Amino acid sequence: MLLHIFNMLWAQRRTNGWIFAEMVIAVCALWILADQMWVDARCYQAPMGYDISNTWRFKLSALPAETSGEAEGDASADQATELLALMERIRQEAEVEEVAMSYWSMPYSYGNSWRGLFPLEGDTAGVHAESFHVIQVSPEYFDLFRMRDEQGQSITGQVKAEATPVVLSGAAAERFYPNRSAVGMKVSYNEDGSDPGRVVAVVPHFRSNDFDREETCSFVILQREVFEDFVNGLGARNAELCVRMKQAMGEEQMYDFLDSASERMRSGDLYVSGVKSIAKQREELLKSKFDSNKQRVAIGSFLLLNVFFGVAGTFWLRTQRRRGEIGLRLAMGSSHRQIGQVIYSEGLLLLALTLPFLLLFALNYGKADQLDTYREAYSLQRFTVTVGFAYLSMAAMILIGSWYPVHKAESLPPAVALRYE
Amino acid sequence: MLLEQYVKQAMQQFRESPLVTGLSVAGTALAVAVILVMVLVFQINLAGFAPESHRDRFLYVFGTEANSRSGGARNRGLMSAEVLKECFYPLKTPEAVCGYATDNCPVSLPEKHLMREYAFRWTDAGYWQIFDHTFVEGAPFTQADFDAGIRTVVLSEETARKLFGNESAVGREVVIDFKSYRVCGVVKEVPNPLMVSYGHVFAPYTCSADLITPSTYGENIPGSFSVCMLARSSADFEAIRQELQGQVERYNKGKRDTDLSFPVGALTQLDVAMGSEGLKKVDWKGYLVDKGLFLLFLLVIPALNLIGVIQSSLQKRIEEIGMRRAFGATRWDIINQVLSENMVMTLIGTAIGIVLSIGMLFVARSFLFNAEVRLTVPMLIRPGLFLAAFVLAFLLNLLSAMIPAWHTMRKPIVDAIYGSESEKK
Repeated sequence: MLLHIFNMLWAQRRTNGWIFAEMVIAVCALWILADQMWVDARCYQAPMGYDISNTWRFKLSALPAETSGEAEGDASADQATELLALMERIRQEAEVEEVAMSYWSMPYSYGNSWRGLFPLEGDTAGVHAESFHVIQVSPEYFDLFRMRDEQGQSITGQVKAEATPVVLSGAAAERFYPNRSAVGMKVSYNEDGSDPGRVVAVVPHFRSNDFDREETCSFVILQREVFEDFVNGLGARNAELCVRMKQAMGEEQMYDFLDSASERMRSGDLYVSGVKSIAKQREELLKSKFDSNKQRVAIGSFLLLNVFFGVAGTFWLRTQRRRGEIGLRLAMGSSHRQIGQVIYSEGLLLLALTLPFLLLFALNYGKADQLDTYREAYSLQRFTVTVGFAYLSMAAMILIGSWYPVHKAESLPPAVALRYE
Repeated sequence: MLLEQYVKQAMQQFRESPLVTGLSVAGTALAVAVILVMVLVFQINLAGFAPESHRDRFLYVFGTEANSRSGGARNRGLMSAEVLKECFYPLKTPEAVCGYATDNCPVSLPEKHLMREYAFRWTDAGYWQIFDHTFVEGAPFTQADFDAGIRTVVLSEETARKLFGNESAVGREVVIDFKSYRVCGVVKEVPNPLMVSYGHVFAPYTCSADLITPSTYGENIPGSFSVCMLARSSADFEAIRQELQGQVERYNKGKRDTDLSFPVGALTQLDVAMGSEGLKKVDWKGYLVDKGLFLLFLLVIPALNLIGVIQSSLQKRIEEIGMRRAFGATRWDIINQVLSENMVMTLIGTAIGIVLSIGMLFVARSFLFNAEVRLTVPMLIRPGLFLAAFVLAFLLNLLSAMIPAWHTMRKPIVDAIYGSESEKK
């Protein structure tokens, strides 16, 4: 049967050639789109490691010298104390659950600073310094963003109890201490091993954004002297003040809350000058990624719609021209259903014949290093799902496209059809 | 009249097989629409419309580099107010020069502290010479306001409405960073948030201490400013670039250890529309290779469809063509006939495609630009759109009808009359 259909396709190669060429191009393009979207979707589905619901970033400003009534010289003298007092004041508000601060390290910040970290002890033969994304945060950051260690314990408390704590992300811990616990190990940011810190916890997951892979991070904990050094060095108003509210609030509600509390949102010459929900920050950061996925869906739909047009047009013309043959088949005892099956099978076999071309294309595409293997290693599953998607959607279009020609052929009375012979 | 003949033939074709003709027209319309969406996006990024009516005479300078001569730090970013003052304001060739810094800040009222943030453009008086914002009321701040750092602002219509309701805004006070500013004008909203002229609040940058306080970092070259210049004519672009280069050389002589440079120089609107940014220049070649291949791909897919259909319908008419050949029509006559008949269909599809493309752009505007973009008639309906559509129709017709026409023409007359499908070798 299959051979028979193949023979018929071959006999009509002049008209089938064009639709076949279109199928080859469309299926290859669909596969590329499917692969890109697969990697994006897999990343998007993976755990982020933190929870940003009901969290906000407060923007800070310093009052101009003439307004604050202080001499400009000593305005920066104790920014750390001012910031700490402001955080405490905000924490006292009934609507606020927790307050934390960070430098270019809040979720979806554009921060991207990397620093070498050296493992100092344990069986780390062969493990040298690794460059990790440094996340500079105050201890409350972990509770605020609902980040817990591998045992499910709160990290904030553990960090506060330690003089020089270091927290690693799961991916970073795996680099240094594969298959064993990193907790308790000593590490240093300096090559000579000075000022060592102790790993107190490992955050199982951490990613900068939903479309990125697990990141190797080390958390620098801003408390006590480190906090003072950072704040006085980088400026209190450049800090990201992260706040978790007890309840979900809209933008307008938040503005109202801050307006009503504006007198208390000040400490010395430091004041809260703006606010943005971290969810909105996320939206802005991810917009280009979402946009390109929507564009992919648009291109994919364009391709499929064209396949539909092509199949419907070509097969319709063909059925019309082959009314004689259809009549003969009916006269020879074929049922109407069998006639339909022949037409459907022709379309699907034509599609199946594109497989060798796709494989050849995929192999070259992979060899040219065009596949995203940075975010996800290539696997049989990825290949099967993406190729499967390309073929299933094409097959669906072919079946829909052939429906009308089949319907017409099936409703042809044998005697009428034979007249065309 | 031959044209009439072709139209008749096309109508006949439609009556004979409405399904196939309909599908071909729909396929053409879809392909043309998708490509025209890309043309429209490019057109919106290139063509001039208020408040950027003179884009054809704009030159932008975004990327600024401060390089240490002794091999120290290098900073890539934007420029300081000092660079603006020393290198750009003295330029003689351009008609107008402006520097602007963007920011997001809350705007309060004297009696009420508010938190909502607005898009700021801290700029100078030259800004109002370059961009033709439509003033709903009041007027721009003046060169004198700018020079003296007098706190005046221009608000966008919606910003004024949010702050003052339906009352007149001109003459009222707003508070920015605990300082009071007088509203001097209100302008219409800028349609596209991605435009340089977009903003909610426009104020003289001489009022912002942050922007004008010199910094020791990079010898006060890095800063927050970008530049837009208006040339008297696009023929002056090269002269302006040269004059700017002269200013930069003069400026660098005054620096101890740092050199100012603009890595990609002054960009035209065309450069920007092709995707050039502060530190990256996209040239014609790169753009064409990148977009051209994609466009070709978008055109080839529907063309393959059409080839199949045209081939099939020509096969049905092979006897007619045989007759025409027998009565003396040359091969070129046949090709001409096929192409012309097909062109009628393609043109119908293209006309539908133009309408469809505008519809698609509306639907897709949030992921092609920004959810807040307002598509206006002067942005969309331009000669370029129709020219592009016509070129597309011509290309698609050639791609899809040439091969079937060629095949039909090559068929021996006798075979053609007989209407045989088999080909004798």
